Amino acid sequence: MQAFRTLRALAACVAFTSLAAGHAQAQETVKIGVLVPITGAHAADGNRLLRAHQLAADQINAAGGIKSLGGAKVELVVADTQSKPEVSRSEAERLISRSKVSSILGAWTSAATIPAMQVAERYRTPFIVTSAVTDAITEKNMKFVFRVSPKSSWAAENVIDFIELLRTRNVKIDRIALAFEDGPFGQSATTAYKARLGAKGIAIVAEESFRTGSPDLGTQAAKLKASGADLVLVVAYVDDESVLLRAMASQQYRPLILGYGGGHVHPTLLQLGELAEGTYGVVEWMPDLKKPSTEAFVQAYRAKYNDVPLSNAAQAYAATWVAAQAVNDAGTASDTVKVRDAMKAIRIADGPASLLPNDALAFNDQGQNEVGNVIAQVIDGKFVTVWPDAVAARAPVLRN
Amino acid sequence: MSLAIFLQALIGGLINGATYGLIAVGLTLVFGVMRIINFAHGEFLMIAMYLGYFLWALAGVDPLVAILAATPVLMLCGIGLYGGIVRFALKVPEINQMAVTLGLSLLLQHLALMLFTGDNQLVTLPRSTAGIALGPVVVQVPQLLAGCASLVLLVVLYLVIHRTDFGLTMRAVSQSRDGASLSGISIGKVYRWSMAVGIGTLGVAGPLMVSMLYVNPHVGALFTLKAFVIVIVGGLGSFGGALLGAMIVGLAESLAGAWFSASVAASVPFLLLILVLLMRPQGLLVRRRA
Repeated sequence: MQAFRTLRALAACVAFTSLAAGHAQAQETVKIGVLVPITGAHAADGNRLLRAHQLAADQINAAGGIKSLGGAKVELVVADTQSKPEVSRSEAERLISRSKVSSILGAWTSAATIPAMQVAERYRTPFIVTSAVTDAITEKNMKFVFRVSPKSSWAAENVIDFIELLRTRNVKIDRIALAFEDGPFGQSATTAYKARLGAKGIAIVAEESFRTGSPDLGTQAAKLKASGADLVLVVAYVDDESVLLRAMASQQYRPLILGYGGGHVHPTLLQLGELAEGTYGVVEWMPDLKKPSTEAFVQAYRAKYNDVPLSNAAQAYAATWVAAQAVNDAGTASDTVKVRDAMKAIRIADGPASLLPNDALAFNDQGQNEVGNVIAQVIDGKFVTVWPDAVAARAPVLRN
Repeated sequence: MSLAIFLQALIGGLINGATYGLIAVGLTLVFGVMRIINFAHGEFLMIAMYLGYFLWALAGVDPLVAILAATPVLMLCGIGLYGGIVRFALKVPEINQMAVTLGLSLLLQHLALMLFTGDNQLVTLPRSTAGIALGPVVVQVPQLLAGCASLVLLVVLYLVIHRTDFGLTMRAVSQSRDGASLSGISIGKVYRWSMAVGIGTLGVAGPLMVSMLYVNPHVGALFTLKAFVIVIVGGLGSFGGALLGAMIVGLAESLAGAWFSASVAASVPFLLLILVLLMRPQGLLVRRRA
């Protein structure tokens, strides 16, 4: 399997270099580094990201390339992090010193992103973080680091805003409980929830944790029920969440459920049928966001790959457009400081890169795109964006 | 903690223990007879779970009925495993045997990943969300069915091992391979059928598990480790030991989960394992050999 992956990665590299060779005959290409895991534990995610990067590059080139450089074509230089932080660092170095890229996009997990972005900072080359959500990434006063994805702690803020909205619409939410997977993912998200709920003076009546893969969550369900919570905030992988929801239903306990990220907004959850109906989930992006750019992206992605893109694909796609536009605005691909300055000034309110759920893609002083999350609800067996109003496909279905 | 929660955890732990027992007993049976440790045990459980899932998804077969189809298939898998791999592995040193079954485990996981993708699949039945109230305790119907069916099968297996000629030959081989051979017992045949029974038990466990859980290519690994803890605590090769170990692990996990955080609860079986290895390395129900 490892050998097969390596082969596939090699094949991908060969495909890209041959593509590049084709363009090189015409004129200098604009090189953009793409740092993703193509092999290793996160290979599936990395390959999904790569598809979105590639789709954006193809569209940029089809639309005439980089205008200020006489229509120069964009060339993605793909490097494999092998899902390892140390490889991510060395590959970032190689992209900058050997391939002379104008900027780097990547690198999936926070663990692989942080060492790579430090390299970029040192070499004064812009680095656009596509999907890593650790808060600290844009809190280190880095001058060359930008991020299109939100900070992880913002999800908790968005959830609290949404809870307050539901309350104004007479949905009874007085007692809130947390149910979470007792690993790094569940613990970090729950810590953010607790801090922000505490700051708002909202009491948490129960905190139940479970190990992933538990065959029976009856005890946890019984304790949640005994707490009398009318909203349960779940932070779990979808397999465990389905076991938990079934255990709660069998005890005739049906509070409001608000799940977290891709662990909740996942096709597996819909297999639960009626049980998943009405549940909410907080997520970074949805393919049904009411934005023309989202529609166009989903259509193009489906036409090319016959698949529905996930939220990280949208972030990778937007980042690629931003990298190209920065080079266009700077009028150079080799002076990476000018590219960085152009990137800082970017503000994209329409067009392909505006598909994320904020008014305009722009970076604040810390290089952070100020983008919130959206809330999706299961309505008639489908995930539908119901909040915030600006991008919601429809209003939430409330049960009073 | 209230009495109701304690009882809920107690009953949940007993039911988990019964299903763990069903999984562990096949492992201990194979070890008892052949002295080979099958690291791919969990992957055969995964195969049985996929069988249960596909019979339900494609043909609408209730997982309880699917047991009737999955068990013979898994027994054939066991015979194939013996004839195709284990038969040759018996001639090599133990460390190589482990490498063989470990390799098989990875191979099966990745084959499943290629064939079925990594997504979780659920069996959804009207009874999936049904619960039966026993006083203050609510037991989920799929869990209850799995627990009861496991107990029934364990009794049947016990009778097979202790009351039939086949069981007698199995026990003979496990006590002394050469002695059994000299008495005219065909060792190869006993090995083959032990493997068939050991893997065949998973044909019962798989459909039961998939109706209360989910199935993905890595689901077996969740149980392999637990099954190893159980058989070591109970005593490798001991039928009663596997059952006792399973109940201890199931209860310890469940009760610790009700009191402490999940990480602490998950460490309890391994703490038990260390204690048993220190105090009684042969396992709870195995007498030290002279």
